[in-house]
Amino acid sequence: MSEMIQAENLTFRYTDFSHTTHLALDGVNLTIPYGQFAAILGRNGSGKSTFAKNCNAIALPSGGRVLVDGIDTMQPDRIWDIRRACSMVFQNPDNQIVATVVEEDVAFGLENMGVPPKEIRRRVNEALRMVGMYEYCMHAPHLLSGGQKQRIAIAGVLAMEPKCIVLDEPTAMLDPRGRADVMHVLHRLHEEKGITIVLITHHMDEAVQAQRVAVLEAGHLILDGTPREIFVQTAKLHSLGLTAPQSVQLLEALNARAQAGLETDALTVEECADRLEAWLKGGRA
Amino acid sequence: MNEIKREAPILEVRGLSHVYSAGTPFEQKALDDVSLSVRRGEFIAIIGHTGSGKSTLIQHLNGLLRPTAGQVLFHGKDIFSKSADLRGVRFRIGLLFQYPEYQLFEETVGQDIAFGPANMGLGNHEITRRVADALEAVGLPQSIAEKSPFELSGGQKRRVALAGVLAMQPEILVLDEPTAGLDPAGREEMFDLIRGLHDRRGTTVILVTHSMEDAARVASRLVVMRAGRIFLTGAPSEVFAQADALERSGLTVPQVTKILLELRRRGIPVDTGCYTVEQAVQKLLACRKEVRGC
Amino acid sequence: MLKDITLGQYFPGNTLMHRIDPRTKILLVMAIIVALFVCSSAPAYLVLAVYIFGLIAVSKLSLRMVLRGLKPLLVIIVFTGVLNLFLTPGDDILWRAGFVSITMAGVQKAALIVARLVLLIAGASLLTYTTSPIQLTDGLERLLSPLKKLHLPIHELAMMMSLALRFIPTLVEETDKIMSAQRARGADFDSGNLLHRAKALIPILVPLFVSAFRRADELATAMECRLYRGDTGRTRLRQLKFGRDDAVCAAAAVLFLGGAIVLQVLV
Repeated sequence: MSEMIQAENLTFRYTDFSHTTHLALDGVNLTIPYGQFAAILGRNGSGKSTFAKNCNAIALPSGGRVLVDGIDTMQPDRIWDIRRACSMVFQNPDNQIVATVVEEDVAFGLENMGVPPKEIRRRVNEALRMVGMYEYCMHAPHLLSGGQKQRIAIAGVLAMEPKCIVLDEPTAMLDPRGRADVMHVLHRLHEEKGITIVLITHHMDEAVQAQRVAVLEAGHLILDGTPREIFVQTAKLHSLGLTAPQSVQLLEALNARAQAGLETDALTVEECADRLEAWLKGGRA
Repeated sequence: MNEIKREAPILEVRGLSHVYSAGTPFEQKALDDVSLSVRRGEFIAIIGHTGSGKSTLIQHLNGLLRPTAGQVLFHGKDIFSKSADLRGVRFRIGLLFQYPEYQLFEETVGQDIAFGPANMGLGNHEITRRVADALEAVGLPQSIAEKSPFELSGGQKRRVALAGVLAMQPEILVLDEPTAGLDPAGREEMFDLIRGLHDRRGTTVILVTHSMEDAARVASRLVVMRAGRIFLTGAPSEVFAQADALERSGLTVPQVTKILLELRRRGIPVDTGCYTVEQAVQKLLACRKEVRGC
Repeated sequence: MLKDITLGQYFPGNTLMHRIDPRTKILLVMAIIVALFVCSSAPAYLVLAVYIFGLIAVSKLSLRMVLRGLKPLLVIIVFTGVLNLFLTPGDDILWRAGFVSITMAGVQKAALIVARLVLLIAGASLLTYTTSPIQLTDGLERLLSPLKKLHLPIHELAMMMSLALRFIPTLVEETDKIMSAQRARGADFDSGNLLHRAKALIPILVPLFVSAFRRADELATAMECRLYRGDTGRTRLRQLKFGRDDAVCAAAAVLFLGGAIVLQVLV
């Protein structure tokens, strides 16, 4: 059984302004199975966006290889199969919306695929309902909020019925409400449609919600595991320019200050409150 | 009793209202009777959602937008009165927009930073001095002045844009989402920089953000806006004492505050007016003493 | 400033003129233009005027709006009118002062030119006021598609047009933002002589171009990700179909435009 995305010893080289060559990715081995909700964390310049671009053949490996849905991205004649299997959503919602009417934009990918008009209509309506934007189908995109635009962009790729959606910092330009809406939609796609989600982000609170977290630093895969395994490593995360959830920091601080002896791997408000409640009410100091 | 003599506010907003596209079907009341006064040396954070009116408000502070009603007083003088020198006011109240790196246009970083001072009509010698000074203030090496702004990294470009405003040596610095799109380390650096400007140079700072957490960490006073009005205002601890009201109005409070709120909901008498891990540790230790004492 | 231009703007509605196929509308307007140039007699023009203003009434467009669309072209209309009024030679002189004279032929010619221009603009605005930009590009692309056989890039041109329409509001907003930002640094766009003002635009234009290129680059990648590869194998959400409404409009057009031309030939 092949995997959704399989990067083997992936290396990516590029040349900048002053003709210096950089290694954006340096021998990354990362496999994402079908149906997983994975988050890729890392500071700016860690190579996480480059990894995303390698997932649907916008960027091609300088070394190693990437298999998407079992297809090597170095096969130029299979590029359309790769992009149908694995779609991509970008950071700036404005720069990925092509039409002046919401439903026309969602239809764009399907039109390119040559889907019959009746089927386009059905899929456009369904995609817009999935992202909660159906009532906006006749609106002009430039009048929508950032979060709404980003949901339109997601609907646009969703309508193409991909197996996997890679999102490159989709919430970086959004306000808290827009971010929450987009995250809600991603969970819905993952749970109801079984779509593999690869979320590139530097927001720790978004990565906490994933099933798996991979951390890139300077083109290397540094950490890889469940959120619970990753986010208890507060010192390590800090050295990578990232932060751990406050719940973990709080429990750690209590342990250090009052020898509270608490398990620190609480990622949610409820988990953390459970432990604190038990500690406050009973136990010894 | 001795009455405490209070210094007159440096900037005062009185009954400010702004209506966009008045008289058309797109009419929209963005600001509704907002009053606010800012003292010299204060660090204020204005918090609110997109559409809460915060961006509209700050564009009135240096006269980029004209109010539908109300006044903006700078050193007690209405900046919109006929006798006022609006352009002069803009040099004294520096405004840094969101994603300011997209406004850079000159061939070199140095020339771009010099744009403001040159518009002020300063002499070459003074301009050179200010450019060097501004670069130092934002923590960039002097050698960068000769580079093209388009060669720099995103974070560096943003610092150059900030330097461009600082070179005018404004009395008040207004910053619209200065950390938008930066990663955690980048945000930390930017906040350190702004805090440094406030602490070391005594610049009055007005920071606009949609993060309660960031606001509470750096500002001494918070102004929470909702639907064009001021919804809550006060010191961070005062504002966070009403954390449940903030949460209900859809603003995201820091996770530690949520944790303490959750404990309170479960009937544990913990003080929820806090927003940092350190404060929460103190509150929890105090609470544990109390719970075990009973 | 930019908002004041009504010519070329779309006013949504659900009238007969809004519903019919954009191709019908484009052909209709072309027929109107041809008729306006073929005809020159008063009775024929009367029929054409009744027809065009009738269509405007059917579309529920306010006459004021249509006339406002004439405003930018008022100078040209008046100028051509006056030129023809005074400079047409003829025997039937009505008024003379020095070498300038008004002849009967001049009056007729001036009236014809003014009527022609006004009706032309009214007819063209009928098309743009009742057709959304996307329908318009769609209609044009379909109508011109036979030219693809001659290897003319019709699809690409239509795509460019619709992308331009999509990004105009975005770039207008961006220009506004950049202007505010440079104003905050003391830029002055409103005073000084022409050269000074032109120079003052550099701080706006450079960031605007840089941003437009960045947007174009990102947009191209996003379009590729959504499997865009030009015209090959492409289907459309909205199928253009000729229906009853189109037949009604075509019949009316034949009646009125044909009638006007017959009048022109016979009378």
